[in-house]
Amino acid sequence: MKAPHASYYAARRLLVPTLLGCLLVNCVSITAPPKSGNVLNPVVAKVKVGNVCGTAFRAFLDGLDVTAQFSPVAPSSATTQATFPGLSSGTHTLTASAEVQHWALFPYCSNASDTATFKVNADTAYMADCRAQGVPIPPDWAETGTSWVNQGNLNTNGGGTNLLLGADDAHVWTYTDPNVRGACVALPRGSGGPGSLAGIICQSATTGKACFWDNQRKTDPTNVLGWSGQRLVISELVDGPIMAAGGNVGGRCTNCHSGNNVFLISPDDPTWAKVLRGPLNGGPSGGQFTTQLASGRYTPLPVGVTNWVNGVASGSNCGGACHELPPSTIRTMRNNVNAIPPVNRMPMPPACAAAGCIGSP
Amino acid sequence: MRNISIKGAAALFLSAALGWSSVTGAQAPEPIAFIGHGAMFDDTGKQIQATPAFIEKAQAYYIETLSAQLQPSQKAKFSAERERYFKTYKRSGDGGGQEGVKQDTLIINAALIDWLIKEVPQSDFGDLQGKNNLIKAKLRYRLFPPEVGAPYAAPQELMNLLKHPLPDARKD
Repeated sequence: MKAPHASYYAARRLLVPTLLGCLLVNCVSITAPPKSGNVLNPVVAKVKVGNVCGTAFRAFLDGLDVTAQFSPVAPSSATTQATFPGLSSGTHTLTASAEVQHWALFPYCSNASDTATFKVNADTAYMADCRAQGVPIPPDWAETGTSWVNQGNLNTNGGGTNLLLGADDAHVWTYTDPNVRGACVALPRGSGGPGSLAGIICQSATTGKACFWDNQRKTDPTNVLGWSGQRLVISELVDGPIMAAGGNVGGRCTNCHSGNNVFLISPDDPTWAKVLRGPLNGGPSGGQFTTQLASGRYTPLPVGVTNWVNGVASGSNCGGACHELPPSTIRTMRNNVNAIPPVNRMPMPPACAAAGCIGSP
Repeated sequence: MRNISIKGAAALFLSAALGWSSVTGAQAPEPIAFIGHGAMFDDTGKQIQATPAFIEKAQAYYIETLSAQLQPSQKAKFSAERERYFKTYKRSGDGGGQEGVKQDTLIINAALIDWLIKEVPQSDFGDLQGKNNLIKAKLRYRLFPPEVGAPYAAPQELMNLLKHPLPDARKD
């Protein structure tokens, strides 16, 4: 066997430190979750970090900074990890970066990063049903660190458009699915402490199907979790099938949420106006968000449950711009609740309807 | 240490359920016409404050109305089991005081209404179940002074008792 040429050894002396330095010591490498993998909650993320020489380690999950969730907090020549307990179903992207020491004949400091895209399957049977029927499925709700956006408080600007509870706080949050046309609206109410209710409704703009969640866990449905400082894990919450059977404490949603679409909106309230029209509803920055249906009428999921239906007959509308005429009991409630005059409250068309101010579905 | 029996407090509901007296006639309008967003409303659409007096009155209405529809065998079972609840459960010590005893009585009544809802066929089972669930949610916070609105944890003895619900009389 012929001995290798001396140049071979020279090249190896140059290349081996370079490769070893990059691959084993000096890179940033995501080792978990597996790239392009399918994983379940809780998702454990592990990142190998080389010798940090400049900008410290940083990690982003779906664009949100999750660096602080990793331990050790300032890794160098170590594996750092974090656990994400309640990621929503669907595709997520984890990116990690740091300035680390590289070798190419001599050591130098340079940025290194790695990205892992993975899928989480956290659907309950109800979530899977909703998803299959074109309804956008929201991420877990929290005041920070999620894709939910706070649009405002119905109790500001004079209040009174919190339909059921008058001048109590009711905060409107929206979630825009990047791919599914429709809307998710969360309405956390009151102070946010234990006992404060928060409901979430999502509606498909294409199929008209709508899905419901409330902030009680299925395992303890009379314990209202509150929402301030809380993370509401969608898959754990009381949902449509439970509500349809009277298993929640908020009441049967479809008693009031009826008409041509599921959302009960006071169109000229400044907060609701942002949701009903403008960029959030078909505009250039609104993406897939719309509170309206492309055609037809909304249908609550699950279907086939007695008294869990959209009970308002088509045609008995008040202009068709917003909502149709609700049952007399609801009209009575609307006209009496907290003695607030029923101006600009559902289901009347917005004052600007004639000018075409409602966004296109 | 003193033991406080809540048997006396239950007498009103015992008599009401058996139809011995009519504190709130069954013909009276339903105290909770509908619920929404965790609030209660009367039949004129006005929001109802969940005071102890209102909850007591509403529970008496539902117990009376539902138990009046029980078959004799169901009624006997209901009466016996309710007595078991109230006789078995004696509050040990004075944790929570007399006001805790009152709140525990309302918690037991909510459990009794749960049983009645399952026993009595209704056109809209879920509607009444939701109202009773809302009452149970309100009872997780103190309704009586002092510390109205503070979380209320029912004594473990009561929770254990409620974990073993009344037998299903329909199986008899």
